[in-house]
Amino acid sequence: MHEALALGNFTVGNILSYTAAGIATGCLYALAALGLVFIFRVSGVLNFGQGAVGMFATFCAYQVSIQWGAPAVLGVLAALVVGAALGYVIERFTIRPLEGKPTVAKVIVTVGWLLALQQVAGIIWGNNAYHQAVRLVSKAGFNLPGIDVVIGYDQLAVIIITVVLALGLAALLRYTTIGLQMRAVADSPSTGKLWGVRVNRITSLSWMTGSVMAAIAGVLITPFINFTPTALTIIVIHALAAALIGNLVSLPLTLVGGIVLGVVENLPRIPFGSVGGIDSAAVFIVILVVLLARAKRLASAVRTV
Amino acid sequence: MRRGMSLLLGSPRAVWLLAIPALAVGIVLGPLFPQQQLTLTDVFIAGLLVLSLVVLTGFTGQISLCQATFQGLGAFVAGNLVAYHGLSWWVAAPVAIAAAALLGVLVGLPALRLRGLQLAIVTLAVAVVFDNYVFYTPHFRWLTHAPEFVAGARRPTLLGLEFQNRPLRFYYLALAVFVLALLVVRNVRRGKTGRVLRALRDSEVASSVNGLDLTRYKLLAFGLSAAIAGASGALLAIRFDAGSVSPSPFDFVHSLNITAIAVLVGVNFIPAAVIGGILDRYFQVLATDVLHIAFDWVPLILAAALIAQIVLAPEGLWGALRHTYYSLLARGAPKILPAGSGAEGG
Amino acid sequence: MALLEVRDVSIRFGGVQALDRVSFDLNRGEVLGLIGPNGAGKTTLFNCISGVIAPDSGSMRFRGRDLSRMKTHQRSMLGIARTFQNLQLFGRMTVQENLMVPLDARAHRGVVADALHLPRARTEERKALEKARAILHFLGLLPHAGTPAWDLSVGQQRRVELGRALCNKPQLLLLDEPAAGLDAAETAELAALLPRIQERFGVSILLVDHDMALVMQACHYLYVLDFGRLIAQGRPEQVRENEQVIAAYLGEQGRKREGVKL
Repeated sequence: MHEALALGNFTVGNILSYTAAGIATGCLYALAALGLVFIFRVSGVLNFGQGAVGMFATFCAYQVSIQWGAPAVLGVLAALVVGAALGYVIERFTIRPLEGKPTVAKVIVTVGWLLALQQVAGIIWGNNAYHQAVRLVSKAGFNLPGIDVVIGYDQLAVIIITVVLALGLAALLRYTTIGLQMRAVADSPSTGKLWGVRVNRITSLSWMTGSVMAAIAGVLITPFINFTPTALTIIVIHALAAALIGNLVSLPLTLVGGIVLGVVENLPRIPFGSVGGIDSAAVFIVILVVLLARAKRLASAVRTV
Repeated sequence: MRRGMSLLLGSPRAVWLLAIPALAVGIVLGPLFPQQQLTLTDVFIAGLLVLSLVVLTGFTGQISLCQATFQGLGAFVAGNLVAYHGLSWWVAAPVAIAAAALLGVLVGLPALRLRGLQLAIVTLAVAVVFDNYVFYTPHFRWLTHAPEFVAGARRPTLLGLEFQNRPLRFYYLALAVFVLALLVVRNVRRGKTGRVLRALRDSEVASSVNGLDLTRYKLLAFGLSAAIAGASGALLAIRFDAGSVSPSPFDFVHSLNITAIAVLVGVNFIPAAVIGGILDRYFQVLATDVLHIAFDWVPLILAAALIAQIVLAPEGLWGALRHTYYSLLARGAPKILPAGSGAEGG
Repeated sequence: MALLEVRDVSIRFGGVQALDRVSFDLNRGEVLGLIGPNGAGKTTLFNCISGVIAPDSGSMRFRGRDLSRMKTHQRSMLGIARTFQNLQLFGRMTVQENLMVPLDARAHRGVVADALHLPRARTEERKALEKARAILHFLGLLPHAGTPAWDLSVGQQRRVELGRALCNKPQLLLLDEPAAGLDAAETAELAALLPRIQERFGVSILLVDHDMALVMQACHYLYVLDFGRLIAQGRPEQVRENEQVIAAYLGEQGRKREGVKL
């Protein structure tokens, strides 16, 4: 059916399977990014610790399922609970007291959490040890009909879950009362207060939701990458890049951004193999290109008081 | 009496009251504690890095999470030039500083169009890409000599005096560089450039409407900050007697850590650079040897302290000390900043 | 040739036409007033002239030069200075430092001269300091020279912003609601100050304010904006009697009652 292209590694099969893998990881970046954008839109804070929160929750899943032998589902549940709890604690005790202080302060706080969580995870579970990932779906692959590409069930599951969650989040914002309140707080907390919106509660909820998404992203991504505290914490860079593509406000664009990022990051692997760090370079270039292309636009994403 | 006090406190001369004894201590400390010489030298090197943040974040209000990257570039350039191109460190160091400054300006270019958050993202991305890719990949071998990295960057001589294998002399060299940098930054702050940068921080729109070219001054801040970090790196290149430079001290975690320490001690204030350097090097020693805390816990305590500090004392250690000093001595004359009035949390 | 020529300037924000083909001239030595209900577009017009935002269409010429090619800081260098409705002081910095910033923008010395504390830097610094203090003296702010700007009262802060604007060596001064937050006595002081400023600094003034007494007293000529369009112009006494203007202001009351965002 398809002849291999003459360009060395650039066979159609290769391109397609790397692209498929890229879409899968891209969805995970998008998931983490969606949580990030969600938190940013509602509370105005860019959570640099997003990756760290997801990482910590995932390690809790690891602890429950792998170390203590509980079923995988319980492990994932643990991750979700821990994620929500972390989100609550961070917002309630270290962000809310900073109301009115400059952005720099809030950013540094999230950086502090990044460092703290990464360190704690390193202490408890070890920085370089091998950790087995918690799997909900088997790794087995199946052939796409008609093309010489194998796609894993787990990759498919990731894509489906991400799309469902992204749509769910958008629907939440659009059609529910809570969503309405969140949008009110995002636009103008003071006006929201006048209309009876409990700003504190809504902000808390947004942080918890965003953190749960980080946890889900963490659990889903670990089968595909190095399961160490540092590797998972760095995911925040990819999440930030995807969020930038969405201009820090648009959820659909963030989703697209994440997928694009995953694909762009994966493609250089075809000619270059797994040259160390080439994916970092790809992410970096994407960030630069997006920012330069956006250069003229006023930074409307920054919340005005 | 009160007026006289506020003259004293308000004038720059107050700084000399602290600076001269501190300098004297610095000069004397080296010979007094031979075992500590290398660690103390590290204090100056770290202090330079914190100083670079004082200029960029403290004065100009720009967030940077890649200072260790500038330091690393300085170290590699200096190390490379000395070890493999036969240049003296006296020549290599300025080149390294210039290279770091150039990278700083390049990183600052996105800053022109971006608000603080997006800029922070760019700097973090820079830190990660250098950490994961540039400092390790064969593509940049000409700079880093990866994977063996740089070895054999000998210390220079000055007027016939050797610095190689002379920890005390190297100590004084680092001290001299640090003091020079502190003086330069102080002069900059008191003069036109300092005012302009601080204006940028307080209100960009008012700055541009009053004639300030935002582009020029933001790039200046980045270049100056990166240059200072590069100087720190140039010193690091010859820190080890064997003159080896490897990427591990320059990873993104270090950038984050130094930003954390800078904020902790008070990134708005020049003296914080000194405290920051001390903290960076000795907190670990203090914790492990004196308080017997496990090595792994030290960065955690630091991070937790950072979070607590931002919430409780946003101006950092030095800022809090300064406030206490003012309120004790000036008997309530200067007003304590009301909470939330744009406290110097960063 | 007029000092400032504004022709058909229009700008749209989302669904709102903030400025709709606004045209007027300001001649040297004039004090022009720009009045209108809230949301009429007055601050937007100031933002266009001073270079904070760019209009969608139309042209503006200052001293014969086309402003559309000029960046914000270049317009300041050309001689346009402004104050802000919501005060954009350099709060952390002292009053004196606030005034020195525009002088610094025009200074020639570079970082190196500053860093090394060269004699040239010291001389320029001293001269700038003298200039700033002279203006502080003129405005009665000298006792507060060393106070952080955000520690002052609103009235004093408005004067600091005025002083800072004057340090731009302006030929045109855009004053955006300089009387906002001032009581009757302070407003009267301001009204008396404006002609003195004109005389001492030789500036022309474009004034926006809601305080009718101030506007009537200080301005030679008025323009009235409503919903982004110029609906009337004339000498203050004429405009005061103008039916459209009255309707616009009365309409403001009606609009407020209906809860329409102004």
